[in-house]
Amino acid sequence: MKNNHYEIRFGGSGGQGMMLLGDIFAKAAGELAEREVVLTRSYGPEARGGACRSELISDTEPINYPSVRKPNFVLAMSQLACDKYCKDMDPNGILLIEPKFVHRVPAHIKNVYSIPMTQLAIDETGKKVAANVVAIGAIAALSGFVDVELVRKAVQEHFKPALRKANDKAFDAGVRAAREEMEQLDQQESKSA
Amino acid sequence: MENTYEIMTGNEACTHAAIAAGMRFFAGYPITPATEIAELSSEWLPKVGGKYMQMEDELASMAAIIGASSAGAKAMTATSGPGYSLMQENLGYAAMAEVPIVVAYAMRQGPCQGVATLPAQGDIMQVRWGVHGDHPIIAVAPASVGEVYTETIRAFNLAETYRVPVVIMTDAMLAHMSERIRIPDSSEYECVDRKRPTCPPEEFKPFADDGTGIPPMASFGDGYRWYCSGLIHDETGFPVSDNPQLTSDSIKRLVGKVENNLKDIESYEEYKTEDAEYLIVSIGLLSRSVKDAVDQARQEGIKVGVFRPITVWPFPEQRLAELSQNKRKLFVCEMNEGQLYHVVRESAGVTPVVQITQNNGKMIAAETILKALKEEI
Amino acid sequence: MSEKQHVFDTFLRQDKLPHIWCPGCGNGIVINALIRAIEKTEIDPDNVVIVSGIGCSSRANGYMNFCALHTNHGRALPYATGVKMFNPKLKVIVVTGDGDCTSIGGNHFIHACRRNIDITTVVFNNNNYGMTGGQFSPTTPLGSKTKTSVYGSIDTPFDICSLAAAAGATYVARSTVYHVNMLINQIAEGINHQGFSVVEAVCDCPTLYGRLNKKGAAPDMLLGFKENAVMKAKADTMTEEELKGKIVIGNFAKRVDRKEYTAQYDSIIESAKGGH
Repeated sequence: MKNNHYEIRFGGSGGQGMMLLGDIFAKAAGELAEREVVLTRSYGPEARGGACRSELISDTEPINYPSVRKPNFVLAMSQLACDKYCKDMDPNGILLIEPKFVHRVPAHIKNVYSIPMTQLAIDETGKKVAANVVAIGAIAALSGFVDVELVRKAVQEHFKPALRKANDKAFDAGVRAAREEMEQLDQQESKSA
Repeated sequence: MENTYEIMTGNEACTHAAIAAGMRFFAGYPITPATEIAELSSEWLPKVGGKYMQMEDELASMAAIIGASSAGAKAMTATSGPGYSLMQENLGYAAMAEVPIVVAYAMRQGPCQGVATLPAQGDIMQVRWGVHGDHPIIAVAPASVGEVYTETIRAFNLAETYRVPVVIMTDAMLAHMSERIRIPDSSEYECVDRKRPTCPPEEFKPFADDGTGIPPMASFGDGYRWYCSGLIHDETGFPVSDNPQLTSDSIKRLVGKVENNLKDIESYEEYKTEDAEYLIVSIGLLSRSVKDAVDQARQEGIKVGVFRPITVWPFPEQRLAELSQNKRKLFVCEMNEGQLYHVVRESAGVTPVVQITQNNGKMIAAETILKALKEEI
Repeated sequence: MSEKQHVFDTFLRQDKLPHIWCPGCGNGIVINALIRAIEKTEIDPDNVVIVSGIGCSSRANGYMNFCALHTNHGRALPYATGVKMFNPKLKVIVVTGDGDCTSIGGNHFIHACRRNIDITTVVFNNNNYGMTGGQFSPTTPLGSKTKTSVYGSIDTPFDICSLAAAAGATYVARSTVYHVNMLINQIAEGINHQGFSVVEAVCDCPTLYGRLNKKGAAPDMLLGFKENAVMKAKADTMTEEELKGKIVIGNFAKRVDRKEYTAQYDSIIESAKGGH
């Protein structure tokens, strides 16, 4: 797979905003970064209960096969999503989990980041629903496949102006937490080296 | 010219393009995976003065768009397998009465209720022969959201030009997936309107051939009084049951509207066919997986190309026959038990034809196609 | 040439006559009533569209000089709905039979009533399927003999007018081919009514239903309609027992409380455009 080809899967349960995450990153990568994107999603009853997902492929070249086959990044917002959506991951890929809901992660994945996105959302905005914007910030920082500021812009353009302040705070919290996690991992690695 | 790009789903692109092509009437019945076309039509049509109706079933939906088209509307419905089965009866009337209509058809896994949310290609033959009796039909199968847009515009133009029902065949995946597409500027395409009569109303014969095989069509209420029966009818539209010559002539004219205009109607894509020793035939979204397989095969030195009919019906038989002549083998890759395969065999001459099929609701992966290809060469 | 042409000369396609119906068939009387009603309402004939399905009655629009669609069995109403919806200035009339309208097209019928779209539906009710040779229909009376109920029908019939009124049609009336003037007036009223109107024309099928049930020749059947007809107002005072074998004629519904469908959609267009 080419370097500019990036596959990302957003997994959670119905109502956690996984479709929204797909839309935001598709907007950032496709509309703002002007790349080719293919976005697919769970549909109907599947998208409303149980584990649901949306999946995005981003590339600078036209995308042929429309399904994610070997995700470079997986977000798991629920245990069921984690169990279901990590199997085909790139071994060097990144798994981001919400520790409030995910307690077991598959052993074969090396890069696991655990960020309390729901708690950060409550701390920063007082609202649990902002957890997905925290997640967007964290994913933008961790994945790096599209510029963080373009992702922020995509969030801003998606929501009503009234929500901008709260969303920016949630987004920044996600970015900050992700960067702290990355630094920590780096330090651990250099120590062990 | 400024390029406008948007991210949209196949169903959004279809609705958007239909309105750009002049659709002003939509009647439908909700069905997965085509429902969003109805939802968006209900929202967008009244904004441009158009009309949306949710009918009691698919029989009524097809009937209503034919009625609206008879009154002058560019009209469309959207459906999937179970609904399309119900539409066949009135689709036959559209073919017989030569009323232009468009059907957006998102294929799902069949048979019967099948799996509503999964893609398939099991209805290729139903699209051609679902209506009883010999009849003309045109079907286009776009491979991307961008092509859904351009082919939807072309579908309306073909329907208006030839007074033939036109089906836009997508599948559950293409209908629901989003891609970044370029929205063509209205100056880049033509919107064709049906040919209107110019004679005095009292001389108007609604089904008289003007030499083109496609009679001019009047709209109800514009001063031309015309009648049409779904029975075999004469130039005035009146049923005739005791005239073998007229029966034969009228069927030949109906079918001839497509058969005699293949050059204008047919379209296809050839991918890496120039030096190819092997050729894979595939349609719709699946053809992109086939292209991936071809790219991988070429890296391994296998000279293989893709022939992708964009008009599935009429099937571009002649071009495929030409391409087949110097090929060692043809492959047909499709998500069914073998439908396009039979049509390809008719064009293949003495060239052997091999099936690559997978019928489980999943897009066939490039690796699977490559493996099947290598086993046969 | 100031002399007024006869309505038959202008509203019938003379070149398509004679018609295909049996001697004594009531369908001709219904056509007569229909074109006289159209004349009476003084609507522009260029704006009249007559839509039919399949069956004896559905051949009627072929003989009339208006825009028309002769469609598929049972489907006249949804075709007509599309015509009217796209161009509400058209006067859309459906000619249909008891089988076409209430059996194979039964679902379309109740939904058209429910929508209250401005279409006038004239149901030629001859109590059996004539075109296919006399089988029982949804309006064949219990115990009647037909080609598919040789031992007597056990299928309870529909009362078309009660069905239409219950489903929401805003103008509903019944007459017979004996009571021609009433029929003309009802169809004219239906055409002028802003909403979905149903006029049931009880008509004779002497060749099949009549013969199989020993009702005599056409004139006998018409006299039977005369003898058995009871006006709606009187029927409302009669018992079920007294009404056995009677044909209740007159008005079943005449409502102005429901807004017509295309007018309602015009409001949608207005608000959608405003909210753009």
